[in-house]
Amino acid sequence: MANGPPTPPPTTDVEIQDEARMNDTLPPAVDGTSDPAPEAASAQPPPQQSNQLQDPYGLIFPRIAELATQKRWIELIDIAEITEINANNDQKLSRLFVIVPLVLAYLIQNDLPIAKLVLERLPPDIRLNPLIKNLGLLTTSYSAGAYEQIYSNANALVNAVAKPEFQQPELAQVINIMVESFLFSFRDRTFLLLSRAYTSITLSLAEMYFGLGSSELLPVAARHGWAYDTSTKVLKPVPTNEPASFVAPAVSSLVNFNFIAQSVSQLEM
Amino acid sequence: MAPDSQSIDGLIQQITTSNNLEALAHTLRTPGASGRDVREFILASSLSSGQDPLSVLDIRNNTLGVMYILSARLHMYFNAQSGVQRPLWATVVQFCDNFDPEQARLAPERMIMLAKSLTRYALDQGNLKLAIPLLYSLATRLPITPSTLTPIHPILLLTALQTRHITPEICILLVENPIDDLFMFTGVYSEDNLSYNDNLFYHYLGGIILTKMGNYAAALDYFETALTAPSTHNSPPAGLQLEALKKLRLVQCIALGGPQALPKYTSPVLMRIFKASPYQHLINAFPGSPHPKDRGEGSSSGNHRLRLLVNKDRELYLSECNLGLVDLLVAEAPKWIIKRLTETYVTLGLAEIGKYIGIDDEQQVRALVLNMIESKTILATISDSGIVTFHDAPGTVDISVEDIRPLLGALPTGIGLQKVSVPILLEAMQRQSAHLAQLDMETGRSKEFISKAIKTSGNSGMGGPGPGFGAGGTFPDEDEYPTPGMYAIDREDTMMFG
Repeated sequence: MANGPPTPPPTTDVEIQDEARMNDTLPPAVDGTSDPAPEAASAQPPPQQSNQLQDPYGLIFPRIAELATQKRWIELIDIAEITEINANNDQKLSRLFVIVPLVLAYLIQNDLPIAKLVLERLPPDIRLNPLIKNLGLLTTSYSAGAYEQIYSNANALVNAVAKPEFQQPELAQVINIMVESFLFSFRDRTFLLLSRAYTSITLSLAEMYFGLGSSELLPVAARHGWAYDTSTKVLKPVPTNEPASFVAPAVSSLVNFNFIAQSVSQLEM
Repeated sequence: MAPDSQSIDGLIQQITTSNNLEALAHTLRTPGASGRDVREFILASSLSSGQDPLSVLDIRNNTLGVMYILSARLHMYFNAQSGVQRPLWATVVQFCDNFDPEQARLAPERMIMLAKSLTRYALDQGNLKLAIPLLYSLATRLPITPSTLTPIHPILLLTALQTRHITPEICILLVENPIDDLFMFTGVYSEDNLSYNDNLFYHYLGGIILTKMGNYAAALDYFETALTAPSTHNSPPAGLQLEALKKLRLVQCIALGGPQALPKYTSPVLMRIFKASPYQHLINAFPGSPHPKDRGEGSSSGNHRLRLLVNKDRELYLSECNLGLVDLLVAEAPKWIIKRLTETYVTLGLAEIGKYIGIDDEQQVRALVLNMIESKTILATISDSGIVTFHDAPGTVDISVEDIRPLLGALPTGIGLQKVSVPILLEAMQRQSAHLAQLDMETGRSKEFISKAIKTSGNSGMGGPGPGFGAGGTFPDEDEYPTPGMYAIDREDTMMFG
């Protein structure tokens, strides 16, 4: 066992980005249209037919996919974590089958710290994988509360797996389902936050926060009772919880007075 | 010692047929005439038929025996390499999942021995993290409650941090089961006993894990426990305690806005060393710190000074593995400037807030304010023209029970939380105080109290003026503050004798 204090993994977004930049020897394969074929092929988990017996990640994936379609996130997290801790050889690329759904599930549940910790577990060569990089960007932007980037990163993730070069359709399907659920729960949370934080908000700003155009946004806002002024393009949120009203004490003030006078006299003694 | 105990066959015989666990524990523990090392060798050997003794024993019913054999074999395999047959990994995993805690508690030192070999074995198997669930199971099920500290706890946390594999169960353990008891036992090998370092490591590493999880309230508790762990008289505090103090101060700034008072029993040596370190200047420059002259007016220059200080000692922070926290501290500093602004302003524009914190980009300021509203650090609303209105009536703050829960840490079971407004709380307190005053009066009137008071005041002399008597009389417990009731008694007393 080592005797010195362990080197802490990067704890801030800046450090994670720095480390990602340092390890970034390959250009991200998802952005360019002219992906060299071998690079794209190496970016995906290897085909499942070989070493299926020794590959716990591949074995558990059907179950994970099933839970994802049923949106049972807590069970998905449980199974994924058990697989993670018991898997002997965790350098394999098939680990993505478990890691990507796990991180997305934590994001859906708004459990950001542990989502980041899961990404920190990964060895450097898995971190180079473009899918993981996308996931990392999404997590970082979520942690920073950078709304525009959250939506663009989510879309980038979905686009990455929609490409024909991505050879794992089942994983792509799971990712699509989970990103959609993530956006749904995220918009929900954003809605509650904005109701609390804004007395009035411009339409363009609201579009930024929700990543939706006005045509999609206005009906939802109207359903929740937000008033919209077409001339100034300003939305008026309605706070969804009523703040606790200030309750006047029911006790008569004379009793209060007696009590205070008594306490003071006791102190004097 | 019966000759049976000198051979593995005999021992197995006893283990499987014994009805009295205490006697069995005693037999297994005492090596008899042949000595400790031979006994270990015997435990590690195979049966005379060549069979593996573990195959005839049941893990649950013969936990005690299995524990002795497993620990002996693992210990000898990894330390002596004397051709001992290593138990299968699957057997070890099964044992950790299924052992009977009551039997295990009869010989806890063997369990500790086993735990210490687990990390070696896991490494051998190819991955250190495989030991984590095993260690977790041992650490939580061996003692009577999971809040009891064993020597296994620090091994668990160290393994988790080394492998960078922090599991959700560990986080839950740290938050819901803070240590309130110690698992003391006297082991045959003294290095297996619970030691001072175990407490120190566990709380220091626990604090680090909790900080990474963002649970700052619990992390502060753990660091404080590590920091204030009493050392023997006149011995200097441990270096690890200084590290805990540094991290404590950094997290206090991030989470609470500035350094808080430390408990009185903190070692003054630590405080001195810390004051001399660059960390103290950093803390003083933080917006929430109570040292106005170092802080500056909280304007953008204050933030600038913070950055300068960080850059000056960047190498030091990096080498002490605190750079991440320090950078986080700098990032959080503007929030505490804003928090101070809420005390002075009712409304403020986003651009003006930006000028105070030294950030030009209005979008960034907006994001910062929104973040603070989200985490309920401030109570404010933003209008579409970019004016932030601060609200500060605590009675109307919509803080739900769930928001308070993480701040309180672990609550004992059976205590629920419910939302209550301040006036109702005040009323309840007033009723309580009135009740207490009433009780106090009654105690003052009670017969035993009066008789005791007379006895003690009678002994110290009679006569003398009232006030002097009351002040100069020798009471059996001088350091207690005299209650109003007692003064009343004295005056009566004097009148009787005077």
